[in-house]
Amino acid sequence: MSLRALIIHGDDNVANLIGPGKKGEAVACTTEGKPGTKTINLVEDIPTNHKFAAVDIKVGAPITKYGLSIGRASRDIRQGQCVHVHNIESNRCRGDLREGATR
Amino acid sequence: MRDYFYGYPRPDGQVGIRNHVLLLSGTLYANPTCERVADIVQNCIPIVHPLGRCQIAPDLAQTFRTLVGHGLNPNAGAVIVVDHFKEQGCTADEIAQQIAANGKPVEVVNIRRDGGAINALAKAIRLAVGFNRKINTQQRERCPVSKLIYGFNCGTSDVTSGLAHNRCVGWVCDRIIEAGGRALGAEVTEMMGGEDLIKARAKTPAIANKLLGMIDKMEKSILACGVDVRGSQPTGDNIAGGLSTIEEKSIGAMQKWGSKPIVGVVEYAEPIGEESGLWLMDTPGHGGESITGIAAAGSQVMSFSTGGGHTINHPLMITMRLTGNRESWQMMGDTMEVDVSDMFTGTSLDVAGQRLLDEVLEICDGKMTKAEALKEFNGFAINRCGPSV
Repeated sequence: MSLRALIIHGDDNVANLIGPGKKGEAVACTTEGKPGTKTINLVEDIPTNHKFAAVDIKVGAPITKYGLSIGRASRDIRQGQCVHVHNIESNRCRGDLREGATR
Repeated sequence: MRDYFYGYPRPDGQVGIRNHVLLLSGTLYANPTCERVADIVQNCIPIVHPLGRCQIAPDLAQTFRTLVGHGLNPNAGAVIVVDHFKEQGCTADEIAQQIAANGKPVEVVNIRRDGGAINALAKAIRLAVGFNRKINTQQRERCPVSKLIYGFNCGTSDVTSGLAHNRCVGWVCDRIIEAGGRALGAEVTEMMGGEDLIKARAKTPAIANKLLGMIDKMEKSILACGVDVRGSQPTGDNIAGGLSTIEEKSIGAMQKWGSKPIVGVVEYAEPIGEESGLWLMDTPGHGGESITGIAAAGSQVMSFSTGGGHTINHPLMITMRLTGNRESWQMMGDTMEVDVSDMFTGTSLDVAGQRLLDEVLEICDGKMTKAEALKEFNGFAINRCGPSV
């Protein structure tokens, strides 16, 4: 059986697509190894193996994958939207956010 | 599982999985001699690098420790150390002395003392021929898996890394530790964001605190540069592969750690202790520097797991590569040994992990990796902790 999307931990608010995804596609998610737990409609094309929002996410909210924070939303994200560097950012190593940063 | 492999027992109790003559360069200017000997004489591995001179003391000490560690790595049956005149604190004589103390055959070539580039090369060639005739009478013997230091690392990670191939590496770590062996990982940059996992996995709070201190030091050194680390960590190819933040990359990378407690933490290129279990070393995420630190600690074999595919191959610590990304397997198959992309079509972790373990043990028995056959010796790089002066 081919996996279509993985929600690795039950607390995660993002899912990992397996392969590419098309806008309008209803994607069956496997959560913590259990298939068919949730079906999410993709609201835009998703590149191969990229993440999409499993729920609506507010700007500033933590992004959770593996049950752990992998950063925060830099804008509001709708369920089924692609989640990547354009709408989330890291909380770590951000020398650019310090006073007097060069860029 | 199979709990033995066929290797070369060494006088100090370590077991090699290869029996090479090592041409160990003490300094930049001895590199061509090492490379030429390896071109001319069979079974020779050159270790070359741009360091050994004009380094501040702690940085030079780290270079020295790394070079000595390679001389002591059990995959070398004999060592020829080459330098060009005299490098204070990192001479060929000092390196050779440390290697000889463990009972390994070692000789020194000094380009000035031995009469210049041509005479030094001739001497090194004769030594290499002699060492080959001496060490190649040794036969492989059946040795327990407990003698393995299983090195692991990852690079060109993508989303498949944390879901497939890194989990296979973790599975193999668990099996090797259950057989009484040691597993050794590194890449402190790729522990950022995984602090909660570390606290849960460390055998003692002191071990957790040492690791957290290393992560903090790494993060502060990046912050001090005053820039956004994105693009460097995660790298451009990580981002193209769907990884958005260093935290996401880290937690995916830490899937290589399997499930056993972390029993110890060492500095860069430092030997690890005798205790069976999961060990970690202070290295950056830089693949070459990281695997070189692990090789210096005496690891004989390394699994390098990669999403995008890789050619990385340490010259002495036998490096095999695996991926869970089918496209990368197809594009980079020239230097990849194991494909676990069928984990996305229903193959279990137990089945994919066993496939990796079987390959690792066969490689320990003498099966050549693809990159070894191709002499893709691109994975030696010594980490710096000071400027060139």
